[in-house]
Amino acid sequence: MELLANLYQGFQICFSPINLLYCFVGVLLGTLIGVLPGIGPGAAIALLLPTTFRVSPVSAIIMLAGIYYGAMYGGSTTSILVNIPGEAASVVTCIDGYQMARQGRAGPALGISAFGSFIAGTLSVVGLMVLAVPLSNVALQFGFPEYFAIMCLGLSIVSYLGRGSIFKSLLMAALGVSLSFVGMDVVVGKPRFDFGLLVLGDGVGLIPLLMGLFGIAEVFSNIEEKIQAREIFQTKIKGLLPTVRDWKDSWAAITRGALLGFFLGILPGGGAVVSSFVSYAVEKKVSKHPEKFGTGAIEGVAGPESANNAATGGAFIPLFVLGIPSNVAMALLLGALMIHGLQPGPLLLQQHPEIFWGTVASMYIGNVMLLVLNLPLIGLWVKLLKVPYKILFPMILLFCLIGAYSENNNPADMLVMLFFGALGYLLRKYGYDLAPLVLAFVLGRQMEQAFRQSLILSDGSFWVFFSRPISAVAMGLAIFLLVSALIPAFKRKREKIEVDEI
Amino acid sequence: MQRYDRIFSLIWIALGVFQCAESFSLGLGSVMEPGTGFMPFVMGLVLIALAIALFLESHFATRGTSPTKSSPWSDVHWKRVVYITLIMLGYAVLLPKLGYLLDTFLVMIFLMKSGEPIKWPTALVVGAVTAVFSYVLFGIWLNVSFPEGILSFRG
Repeated sequence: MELLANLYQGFQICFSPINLLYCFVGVLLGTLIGVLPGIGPGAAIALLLPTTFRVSPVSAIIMLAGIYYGAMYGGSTTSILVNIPGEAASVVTCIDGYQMARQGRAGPALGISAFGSFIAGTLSVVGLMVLAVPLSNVALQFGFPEYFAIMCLGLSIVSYLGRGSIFKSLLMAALGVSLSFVGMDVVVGKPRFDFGLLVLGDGVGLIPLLMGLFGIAEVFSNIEEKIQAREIFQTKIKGLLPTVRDWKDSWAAITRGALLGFFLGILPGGGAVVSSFVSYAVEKKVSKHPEKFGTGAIEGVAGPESANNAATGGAFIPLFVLGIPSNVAMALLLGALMIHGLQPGPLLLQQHPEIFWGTVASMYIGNVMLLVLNLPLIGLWVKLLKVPYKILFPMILLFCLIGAYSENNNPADMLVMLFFGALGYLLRKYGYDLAPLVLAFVLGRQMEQAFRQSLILSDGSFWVFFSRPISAVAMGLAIFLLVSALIPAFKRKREKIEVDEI
Repeated sequence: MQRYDRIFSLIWIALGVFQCAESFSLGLGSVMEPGTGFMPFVMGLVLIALAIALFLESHFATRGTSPTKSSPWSDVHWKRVVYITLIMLGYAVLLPKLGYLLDTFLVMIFLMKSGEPIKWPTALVVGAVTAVFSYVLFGIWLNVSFPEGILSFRG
């Protein structure tokens, strides 16, 4: 009953005109970003974060969350029509979606991915709503050692799933934690690693860092190659509504995708990308006619598209329950909450229930908006694909520059951003995955505090991380993962599942 | 790639050593009561250890499995990246002097003209529209205070 009362309160918050507007703007921009290749949801949230500095925290989160799940919707459009995934989570949709489009079935492919996304997205919000509060009550009992161990586990999983050598991913995580030390020491208020630079006095800014690593570096990687005109599949899109036959073929795939996506979304590092791949593999396995996959099987579109949307709901659980983001987009939401002076975690749910419930309610509404936006407006999105990159990229760069400047009205922040842009570009070039760096940077200060407090608690004994059951399990898992990445047999497995989530 | 991994691992080692030295001078405290430099020192050691591991991994990497690419810099327009970085540096430095509108207009023109051919009228119109639109969005609607520079109406 309390759940319904809370949800009712959430809808009340969400139905205020300003929040509806932010929700709409969020899902609209998210779809737009999902459609445009070369800019992922992480970069998009980073770009738009500055526009939320001056609105209430709940409106900010509603909009930023909308961008995130909106991008998952939009990503499928380009996969199906152009065979170019709008973002990483829609890569598998290309396989069967594009084949369907070539056979003149672009309409049902787009339709089923929109409906599947809607159904799975909504189911995962239900899951989020039901699980978050009980889990946060458990999390309230966690002490510093548990938090430290869970953060270590999170970083280990993200590094494990990272691209390339495990050592490179771990180096990025270590670099991220180290970067978080710049500025004032949280415990005693002593300056460190600021090299006497005023702009680093409060630490490396989250916005310049993110915009540099994801916005600027991404543009750099795109423009170093010759820009090619994109070919758009020329066909009239008709019959967006899937037939009874289509529904029959895909309802099981949607349900499985929703479950898979939701639970994989909770795990750090996995989220939308991994769940879409896993869903495709599962559908192929359980299908009575696996040979049809790759030639335009509708289950191959319905499953992964449902899974990547369900994952967005799951991904909110660690953020709201523990205050630990599970992927880069969630790290950005964490950053947004912190800019508004809120510390996500189990206490947030008790002290500011309106943030959580407002967001949950907005996700129901946002999913409806997306369904309405996506089906009739597909023609418009296709036109947008024709905006040339040579006009698009200067705007993206300008947005990054303004974004970095606007938090403190300080031009020096733009220089910090350019530094991270160049660094991110170089690191990517040499095969380093940036996701562990960002997550580690966001968690760094909390980790340090948990580490120091744990040692103070235990009179200097490192055993404290292994003697308490929850931290022992988390530490054990982290060590197991890292060791297994080095064993040749596991190493090959890891190379198969590695993903590049931005 | 392996050669670059080894070069990079040396850079990481240097960074780790620097971090440890700096942390040491900040004061490590004790295990019972860790000081300002304690965790940075530990992370510095972690950096060094991982860098050594990366060095060894690339050194003993199975040879002949994949032909080493000559360089990640061949076949790419890296000069364009440098050029664009310089343009943006210029934007940041000149913003207080030129003011938002003029500086933004100029940076848009330079960026659009940096590579692919684009017609002058298109560039001028897109530049002007972007400068004005972004000013309205950020400067007026979102209340970001931009420097007015030489276009200041208040003299």
